[in-house]
Amino acid sequence: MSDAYILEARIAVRSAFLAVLVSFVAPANADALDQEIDQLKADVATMNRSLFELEEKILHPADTQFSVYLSLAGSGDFILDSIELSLNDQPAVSYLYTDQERQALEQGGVQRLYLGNLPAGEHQVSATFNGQGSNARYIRNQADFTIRKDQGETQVQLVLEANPQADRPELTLKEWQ
Amino acid sequence: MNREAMQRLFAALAIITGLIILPAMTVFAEVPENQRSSLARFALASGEPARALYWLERGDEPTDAPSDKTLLFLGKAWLMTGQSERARSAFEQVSAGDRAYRGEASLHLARLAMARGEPADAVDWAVLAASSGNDHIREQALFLQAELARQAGRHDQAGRILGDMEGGYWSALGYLNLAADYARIDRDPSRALIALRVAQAMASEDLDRNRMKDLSMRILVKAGVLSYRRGDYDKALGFLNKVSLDHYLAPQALYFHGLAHAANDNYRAAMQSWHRARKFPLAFPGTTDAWLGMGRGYDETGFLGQAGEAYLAAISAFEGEGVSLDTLELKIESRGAYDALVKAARRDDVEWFLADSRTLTQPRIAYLLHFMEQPEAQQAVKRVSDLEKMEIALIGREQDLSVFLVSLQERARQAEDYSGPRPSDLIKPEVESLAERWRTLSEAATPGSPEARELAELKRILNDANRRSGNFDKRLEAVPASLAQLSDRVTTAQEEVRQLKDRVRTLRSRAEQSLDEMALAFLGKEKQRIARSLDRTQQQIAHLYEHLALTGLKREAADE
Repeated sequence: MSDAYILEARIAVRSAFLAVLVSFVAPANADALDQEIDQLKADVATMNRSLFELEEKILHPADTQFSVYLSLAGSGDFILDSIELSLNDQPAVSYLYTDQERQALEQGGVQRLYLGNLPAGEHQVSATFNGQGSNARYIRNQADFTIRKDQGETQVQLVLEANPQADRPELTLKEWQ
Repeated sequence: MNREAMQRLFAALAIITGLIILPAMTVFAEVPENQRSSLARFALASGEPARALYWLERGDEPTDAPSDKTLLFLGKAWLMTGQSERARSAFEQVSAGDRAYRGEASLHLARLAMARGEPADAVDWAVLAASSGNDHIREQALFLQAELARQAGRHDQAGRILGDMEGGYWSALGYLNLAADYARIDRDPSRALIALRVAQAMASEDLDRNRMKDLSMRILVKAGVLSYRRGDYDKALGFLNKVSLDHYLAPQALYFHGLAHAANDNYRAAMQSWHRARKFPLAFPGTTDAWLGMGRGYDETGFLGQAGEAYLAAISAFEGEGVSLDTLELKIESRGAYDALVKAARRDDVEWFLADSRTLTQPRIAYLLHFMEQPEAQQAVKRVSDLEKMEIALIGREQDLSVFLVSLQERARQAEDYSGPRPSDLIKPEVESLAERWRTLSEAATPGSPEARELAELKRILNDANRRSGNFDKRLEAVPASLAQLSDRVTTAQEEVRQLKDRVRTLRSRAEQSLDEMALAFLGKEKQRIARSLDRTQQQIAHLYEHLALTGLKREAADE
């Protein structure tokens, strides 16, 4: 048995213990320090929210803005491990999923995989996903799409469909209107 | 049809349309309403509550009340960002609404009520969560109900609730806690052992194999210790034999394993177990006892010379440990507990102390592991860790804002300094020339052919470019004001970040002080524990020498 396996197990159980224990030992009214930390967390979250908006305005003007979102569809045995996205043959982003993120996608969550700028015109979008299919089979598949970037924001969604009947999941692309 | 000509036309259009993009447009991308909660769900799963709030709260003020799904995600994000009262209010609304989200909201409300020390409310919410949630929610809600009953001393009721649960992690944890209570209040450990047996069976149904293995180890050690105390030595050995040697509880299991063998008069096996336990750091429960056990084991079997050596080795180990504890104490006093201990483990999350196999062999980290067994210590470390993460994030934000400001100022300067011809004067002839080329190509294209379809698309782009170039000058004139407005916002944000950073630093200093006090108190207790073990060993060796001296005198007297 590997060390990593054992340590992961310890972390998982201790995390649950921690969550349970902390909820039991927390006093009725958290002490002053905890209350101040909570207030600070709230203020930082509010500031972050407005900074995300400001950052988007500065870095990605709506005229050139291009976003790629990812979602899952279907109910196959496929377990998504990672995805790589290229734009016009240039690596744009790669992402490795945690169990919680994978679960969120399976429950209908949508990830903004990429936000950047593209000039108007035709562009190549390539997505390669890695994961585990039925019988623990490793699957790596690539899908290529051509998109036309018009003036104004362009938002596309990659949908990874895990169909139990199909040999491997398929990626489709749809544009948000 | 000249394909090359058409491609050139496309390329030229791309350049023209690319030119008609003004910097710093203030309109940002609109995300469809129905996608926002889905994006928030993923952001929450990624541990980014601020991003979730960004998705859920952005845009214009909604005219309709938010949906239950949106409210549930808002509640979760507020909870993660320390806004528990807002979260509670959101969860209460959801719990009175759509059945699909009622269970999860009620479970959150039950936990919040527990944290506030309101068990009656917690029970009510947990009952609602169990009746309206999915299987996953139901199991957690029933576990909470069982815990509330157990904490109130109603063990039979807790047992009945656990009996209604499916096999898996939560029921196993519930039975393990119940067993711990039974072991504490009963003289006869039968009830505790039965609860542990059930816990073991429930744990085996946990689909998370890693978690299942760790929980099983805890159950086995507990069952082994209880069986030993009951006098069922073979049963104790049966449980303890299954404990993995790379588990935190391994030295404790080995110590009791040795005791059970010794009770069966198998001292050879007992000594082997204690010898293995001695290889673990003295911080772990069971290790100091194993050092003493070795001496006693030799003593019991008549190897008095080896017993003396074992006691001397134990004294040396305990004295060395005292020095290590003094050094650790000094480090905490000079660098602070977080730096000296948590940073030393090279991880910044709360579970840092578990994530490295070195924890089982390195004395200093072993003390940390022992320290972090206390929920209060976990809370104290979490406070500092959260504040440190906040500080790092704010420093990053500060740097980003500085870069933005420089860039905006540079763009503003370029816009102000521009003294060339009006952009529309340059672009319009280009657009007109392209339109002329389009007309020529269109005349050559066969109606209905692929080329004609492509040309239709080109016409659309050309029209768009023409339309945009029409108000190009006006938009360009607005650029400096727009950039200045953004610069002002960046400057304001910089000041906000600076203020938040100051608050983080002040609170961090207080949180670190609290952690230092807790860690030093813990080390003080550990020093006392080691000192007691040292005393006991010195007494043992004194008795042994006394016995040897008396035996020698008796022998001399007999010889005379």
